[in-house]
Amino acid sequence: MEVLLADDDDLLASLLGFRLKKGGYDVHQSSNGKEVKEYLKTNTPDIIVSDIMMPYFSGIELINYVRKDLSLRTPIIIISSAGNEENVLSAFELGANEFISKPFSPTELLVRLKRELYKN
Amino acid sequence: MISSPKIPTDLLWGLSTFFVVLAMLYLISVFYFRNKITKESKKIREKKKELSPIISEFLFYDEHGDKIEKINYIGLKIEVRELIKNPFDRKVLTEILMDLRKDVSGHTRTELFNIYQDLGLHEDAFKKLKSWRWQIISKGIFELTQMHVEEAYKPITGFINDKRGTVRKQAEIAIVTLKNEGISFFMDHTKYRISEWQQLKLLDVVRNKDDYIPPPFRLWLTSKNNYVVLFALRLIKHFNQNDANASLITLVNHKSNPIKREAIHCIKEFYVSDALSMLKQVFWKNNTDIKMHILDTIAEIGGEDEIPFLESIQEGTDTFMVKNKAVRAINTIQPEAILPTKDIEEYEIRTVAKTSDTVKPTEDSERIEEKNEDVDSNTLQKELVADTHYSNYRDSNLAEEKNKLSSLSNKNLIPVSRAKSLENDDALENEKDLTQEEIAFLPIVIDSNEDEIEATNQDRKTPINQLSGNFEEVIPEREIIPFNDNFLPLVVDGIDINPLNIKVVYEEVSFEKITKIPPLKDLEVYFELVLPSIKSSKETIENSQLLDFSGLKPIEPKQGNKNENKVNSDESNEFLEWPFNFENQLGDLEEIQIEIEEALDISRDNQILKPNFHSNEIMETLALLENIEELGDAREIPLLKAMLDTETSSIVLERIGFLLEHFNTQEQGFSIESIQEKEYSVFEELIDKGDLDSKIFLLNEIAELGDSKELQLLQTLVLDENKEIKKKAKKVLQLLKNRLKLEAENEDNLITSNKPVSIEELIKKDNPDFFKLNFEPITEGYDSNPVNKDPKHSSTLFDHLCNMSTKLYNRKND
Repeated sequence: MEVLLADDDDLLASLLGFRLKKGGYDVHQSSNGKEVKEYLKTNTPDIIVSDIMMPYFSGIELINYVRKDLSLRTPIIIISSAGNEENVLSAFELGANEFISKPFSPTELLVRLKRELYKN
Repeated sequence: MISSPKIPTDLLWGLSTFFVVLAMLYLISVFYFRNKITKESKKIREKKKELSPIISEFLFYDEHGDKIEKINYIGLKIEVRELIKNPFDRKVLTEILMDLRKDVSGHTRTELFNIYQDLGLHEDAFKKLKSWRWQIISKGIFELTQMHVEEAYKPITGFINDKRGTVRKQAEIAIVTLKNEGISFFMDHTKYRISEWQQLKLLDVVRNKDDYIPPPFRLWLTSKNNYVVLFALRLIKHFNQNDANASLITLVNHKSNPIKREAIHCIKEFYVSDALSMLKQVFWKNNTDIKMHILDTIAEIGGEDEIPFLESIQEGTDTFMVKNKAVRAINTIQPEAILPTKDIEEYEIRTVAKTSDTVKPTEDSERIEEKNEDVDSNTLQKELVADTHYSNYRDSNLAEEKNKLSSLSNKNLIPVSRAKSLENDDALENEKDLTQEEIAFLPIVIDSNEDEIEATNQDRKTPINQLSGNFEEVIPEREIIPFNDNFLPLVVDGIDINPLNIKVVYEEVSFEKITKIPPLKDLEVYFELVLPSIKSSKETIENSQLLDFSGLKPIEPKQGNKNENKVNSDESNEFLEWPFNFENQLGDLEEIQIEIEEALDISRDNQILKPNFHSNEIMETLALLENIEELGDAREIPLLKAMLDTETSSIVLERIGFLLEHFNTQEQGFSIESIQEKEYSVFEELIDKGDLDSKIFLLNEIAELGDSKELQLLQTLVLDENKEIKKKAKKVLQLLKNRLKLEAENEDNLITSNKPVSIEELIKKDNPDFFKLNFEPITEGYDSNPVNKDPKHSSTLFDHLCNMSTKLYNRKND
């Protein structure tokens, strides 16, 4: 199972990447929207985990890109700081499958990720 | 003639040069510092990238993981131990942990805190507390708070009344965060003002604590610090501690308005009706704001008794807001006690009511509306100019009244016929959309003609109590099952029943007899794992050999034991002499032996040994063994082993076992001494650099994988200061020794695996190849023979015999 992990916070990305790898997933990490876009042109991951705030290309734009431009039904899990209600709503409207607010447990992410993959 | 002033060009040049140089210096310094900062941040970024996988590895380390993971973990721990010697690396590690703390929660966060302390990074923060610069201290406190270093609680309490506001506030939050009792300490000791923002932050900290039991905050209502009282009142309200009513009532009289206000809020929140008289008493002394709060509270908790007081306020006060509040309070207590009177035009209402079916929207009504608006605005303007607070209220009131009027003009003045037709049109349109099912919930309305309406109007004139009513009988669709109360006990009031006289009917419970016995193969069989017990010297003391004195009380148990020993030593001095010298040499064994003794203790307080007389043959063998012990060394092991196979007496076997153990250990001791200089344990360096976890882990590994090279290391660790390591090392040493011993025995068994067969027996078997000696007898030791491992070895007669016999056996088996 391949996971695309998009987060500009290198530390958190590294931590989550490690946890997901330990959970048995192949993880591709991208630190900004551009990289994500480039990657998605040639690859189709099984699930996308993305932060909302990213340089060049936000998480919301990423959902839009995946759902509308690429017409992919790949599950998308969005990570964001708590209290950003507008972003959450727009993320769900555009087709995000799951939302996790910071701070969160990496194990919780793993569980949600499994659930999304199971659903799909 | 006017001449131009002489300009000192030299000075100008000089000044220009100076400023240019200054500008250059400024630019260079800016460039230099910018570069330095960029370089440092880049370096930090790179270091973070390098260290973050290590942190991830630590955070998600699974104790039950595979060996590779454990080895990786140990390796990384050692690596980190090296890294943290460098202050820069320590700083970066702290930053990483602090950053991650913000993003993660749950177990991962707890692990982060553990790592922070395990790596000793909190010591840096403690150092910061000793700085004289407030920002450094503040940073230190913040770091310790964020990483939940409970040890820091005490040092931080020293800053609770610091003159520097930032440090003090940071310390306040730290104290409340680090320990549950921190809030009590803070409120007891703080002398300074607690700002509103700080109170909110502290409340937030307290609110988010897990398993937090708040102290009774009423205890701080008597504080000399008004800010503490105020904060206590807020906490009381937050935690619903309604056990301080008397204090709350008293605080209504406080000089400080915020405290007064907060006390009134609490009174309202907890419905302290006893406070009503006090509230009424202090009402007139207070400012408008407090008056408003008091009225609000009276409205909430008061009853009809308060209405005269409220009416007096309504009449006696000039303040518009207070007046309004009083009216509102009256209406809250007694709904619609005061009806709207302001600007109510009776004529208009009557007109609407009576002529609603005849009046058309005329110009008059429009004019009336405009007039009303003018009147309203003029009168309101006049009344409310004085009160600046009223502006918003006025606007909304105006808008409301305007809406009322417009609704009157637009709605009520529409001719009925037109309105009816409009309604019908709408209804028709709606009907088209609605199905029968959708309007099923509506009541059935029967269409009536005008006559009926008139009749109804006549009915309206009759008083309500004279109206005839039609009652509808409601029949349940299903038959109601009658409630059976037979099972309930019969309770008779006033009659004393003796419980002993009550008849008790016992229900007979019979077991079903199992007529069929299930077939044997279907029966479940539980297997018990029986492990052979390790023989110890004490096990030979069987219970049957002991006299039971459990019924007797020993007068001097200690003395008795001594005597017992004396008796034994007198009887068989030869075999009861214990080689304590050896045990003293290896202190660890002594303790282990004591442990075994304790484990096998057969309550010797009550039992003493029976006299045990042996035959001459056994006595001779024991004497021989005694001599061997006195004069022999590891070279006697083969002989002892041979004796072990032939002897049957338990006492002799025990003695042989002991001697074997003694010589084996001696032999290992020799080998250690010989190896010490040559061999080097791979674990030594790892243990040396590792932390407690690593050491324990490595010791386990030694027990499993180690060999004689590790004995020296273990013996050093037995003397370690750390109790856990010491204990573990002892266990591992014992395990390793046992394992090595077993290995050595296995090697021996390879040689002498079969039972000893005498030469006569071999000859009897008529083996033709027996006497064909196609090998050269080697006088030097056999490799696998532990005796020959000793470089100081020189063969004895026993050895030669043993070697010879071994080789013959091998030959025979080949």
